Amino acid sequence: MIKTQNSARQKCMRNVQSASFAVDEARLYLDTHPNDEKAKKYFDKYNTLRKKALAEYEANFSPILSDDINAAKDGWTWTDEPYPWNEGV
Amino acid sequence: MWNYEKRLQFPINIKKVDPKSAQIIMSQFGGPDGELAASMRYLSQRYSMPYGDVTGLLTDIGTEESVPKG
Repeated sequence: MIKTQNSARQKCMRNVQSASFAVDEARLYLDTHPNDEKAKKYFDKYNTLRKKALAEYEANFSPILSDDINAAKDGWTWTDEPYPWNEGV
Repeated sequence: MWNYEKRLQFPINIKKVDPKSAQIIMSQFGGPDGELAASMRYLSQRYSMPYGDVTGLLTDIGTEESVPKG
């Protein structure tokens, strides 16, 4: 359950979510329309935005992909609660 | 192989407790015609799909359907 909608953390997460949504849908479309030039540009644009948004969130808050964990530097925070599906962001 | 991103696909904001709705949603997810069963069908039928582009599509859809991510 999200308590407040406008914290910096949530705003940052919204950027990740909206860019990722666009990438997911464009990927499914391109699977069967691989020669659509407009769709390929759309995919690349939002994929770049997604990477930027992921990097920004992970730099300021916590890792989203386990690939991006730096355990020695940041300690093991991967299992810190609350999880996003248990009332976290 | 399964991997996950520690985030929801879409923000969820539950405003009141509603067990009746929760029951319907749980059935949509894990029930006889739910997302879980569909995802496993996508991922197993991909192996006998004769068209390469659709094999890829089934793989991607099955992956997305596998986990309730908001």
